[in-house]
Amino acid sequence: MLQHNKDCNKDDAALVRRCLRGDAEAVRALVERFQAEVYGLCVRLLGHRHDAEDVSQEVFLRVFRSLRRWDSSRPLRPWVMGIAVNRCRTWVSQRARRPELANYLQDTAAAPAPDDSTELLAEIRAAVAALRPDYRTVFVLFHEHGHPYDEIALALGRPVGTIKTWLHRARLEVFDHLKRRGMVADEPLIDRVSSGTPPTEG
Amino acid sequence: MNCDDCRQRLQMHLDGEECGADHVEAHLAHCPECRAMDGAARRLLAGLLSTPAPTPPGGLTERVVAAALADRRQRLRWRRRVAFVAGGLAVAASLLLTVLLTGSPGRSPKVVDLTGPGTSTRNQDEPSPPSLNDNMAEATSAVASLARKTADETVSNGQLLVPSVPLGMPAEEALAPPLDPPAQSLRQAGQGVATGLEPVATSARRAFDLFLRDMPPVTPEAKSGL
Repeated sequence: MLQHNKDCNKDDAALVRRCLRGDAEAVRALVERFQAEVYGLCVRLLGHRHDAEDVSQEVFLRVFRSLRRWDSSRPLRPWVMGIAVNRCRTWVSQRARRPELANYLQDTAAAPAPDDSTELLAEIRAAVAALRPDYRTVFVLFHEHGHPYDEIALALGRPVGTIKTWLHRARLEVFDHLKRRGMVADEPLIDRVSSGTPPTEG
Repeated sequence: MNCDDCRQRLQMHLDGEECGADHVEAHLAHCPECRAMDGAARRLLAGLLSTPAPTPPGGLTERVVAAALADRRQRLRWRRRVAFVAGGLAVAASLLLTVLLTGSPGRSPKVVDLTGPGTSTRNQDEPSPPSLNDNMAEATSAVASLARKTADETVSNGQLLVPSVPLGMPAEEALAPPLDPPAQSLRQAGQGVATGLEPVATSARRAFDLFLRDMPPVTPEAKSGL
């Protein structure tokens, strides 16, 4: 694992050096490597696809302007995601715009579900949107982008313990929202035991 | 296991850590609060798993790359301009410093007396250090003498080309009626013209300096091309 991280850092450093020399192919490679994650995070935090597109472009401009300040002993991905989080925060504070749930649901409209999963998804989105910004960022980075705690801590510049605390509180608030909205069936215990449902893997 | 332990283990499970599921199940069997929380966690995970990741719109890569490269070019141009202006300011500052250190007209450099108040401050026979004003005066007189010599030679060469004038001059009465006496001498008139043309000469000198400053540096390749 440690060797893998070192190799990744070496690749990242080589790519960054080429970008700093103005190599157009390297610039394209860096954008392609992080574009989906940056755009996805912006959609989740801003709740608006057009805003997310604009902010994604701004994020990459800032990444390329600041590449000389990147510490090559650290992984590149959390650094890029940290810039994305900061840009989203700035955008939200400037526009004072609430996330638009209807717009966000465009992402799921292409996959109709036979059960109540669309409604469930809408409730989860509403719960996440109601979180305070720090909690929401940590929740999205962990549960939707699969970032480990240490990378989120690097991206947000906070200790791992703080990130953990924020995520646990965020989950509790989401649980409360789902319970209030009736999305959690009061499943009789006897059914649970008899059906032998295995715990869902995260 | 109490409720706090159960919820802590539930969080650990959601973090992807080992939490001892058997103990949790045993607690959930008789605790409806924790069971509801466990159900909410399962619903949350199910909902997240069914969430498709947002896909970037087509053409976003091209737009971002083009914007990044254009931004880089613009920043490079800006840096060059700043370096050019900074270089000019540095040259101007060094010139100003030179003038200040060598002294202005009518002011001699200050000499610090290191020998004490009772002794002679300076040997009168010792030559004073060369100043910029003296050098400028020497250069001016040299240019003036060279210009005078060139003018004399030009006049003498011109006289060779002009046909000789007959010695016999017509009588004074045969000439046109005499002109009015001059209101001022030729020297005064020349001074007036020089004073009038001074702003023009100054402007022309400035324009020429600006032209020289904006000229691109001549590279060896350009020289060989000539």
